[in-house]
Amino acid sequence: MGRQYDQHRGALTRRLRWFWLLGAVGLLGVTALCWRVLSASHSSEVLPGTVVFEMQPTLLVKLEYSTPNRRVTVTRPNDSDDPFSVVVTDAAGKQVEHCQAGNAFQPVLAAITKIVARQGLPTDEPVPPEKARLRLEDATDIGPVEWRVAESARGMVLTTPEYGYVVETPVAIFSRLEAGCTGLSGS
Amino acid sequence: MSLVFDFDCVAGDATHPTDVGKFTVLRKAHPYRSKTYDVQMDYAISFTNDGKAIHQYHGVMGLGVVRTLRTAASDWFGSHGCVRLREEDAKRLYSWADSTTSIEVR
Repeated sequence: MGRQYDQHRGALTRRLRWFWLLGAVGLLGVTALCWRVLSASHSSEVLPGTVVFEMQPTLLVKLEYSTPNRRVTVTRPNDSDDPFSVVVTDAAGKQVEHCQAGNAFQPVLAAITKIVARQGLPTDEPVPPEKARLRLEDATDIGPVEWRVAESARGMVLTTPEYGYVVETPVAIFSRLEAGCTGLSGS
Repeated sequence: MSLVFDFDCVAGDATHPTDVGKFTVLRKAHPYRSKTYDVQMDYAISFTNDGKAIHQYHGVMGLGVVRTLRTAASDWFGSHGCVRLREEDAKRLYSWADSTTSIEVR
């Protein structure tokens, strides 16, 4: 009788052990799933005045501003005080301008290395037509950043595949970039 | 120097320790999604060349629970080198710090 009871108790303990193990594994699975779902569907708040992007201006090594008609590329060899050079190519990739960036580039550099949101773009709101692409590379290994640039009645709009925001950056900054040497080489 | 904020955080685990030393703010980004790890990292303040950042913790469990589990159960609950903060703390720090802010990890 006692032996039968011990066997029964042993079997029950083993079953409970499995029950707890499966429960723990299940809980971990559900937690991981929730985390993936929440992470994928996360909606980030962008309040007016939020600095949506800022980088060290001294670390910028390459800036590309591409429109359907031309590409303006501003580069410097490294993160030193070397001057930036400006190369403009047409839609076919042919170089049409080449110059050294002057003091006129400084406000552009300041503006594109610190971008402040005027407001976040609601996800259900249609994005205005793309006007250009802005790509920045710095001397770190973090990787480049790229935005689609558009213009709306509320101001310039920058979007990534995940986010969009109306920014405080004046349209004149983008116009100066698009103008290439005319906009960036002056003193 | 005076204390401005005092936040709880979760830093790197033994396999991926947070870099120790003096750094500067290299980048700030919000909202931000890490391409390397495909995870949300809002209010990110990157301070190392490879992108380690102080950022908001987006996990399901609270940061306090993660800190307790890390101490009591396993180092596995540490980060991959970033410094995770609660949302409100990450937001406050992000608003306060700029590209001239120094960062020291000890």
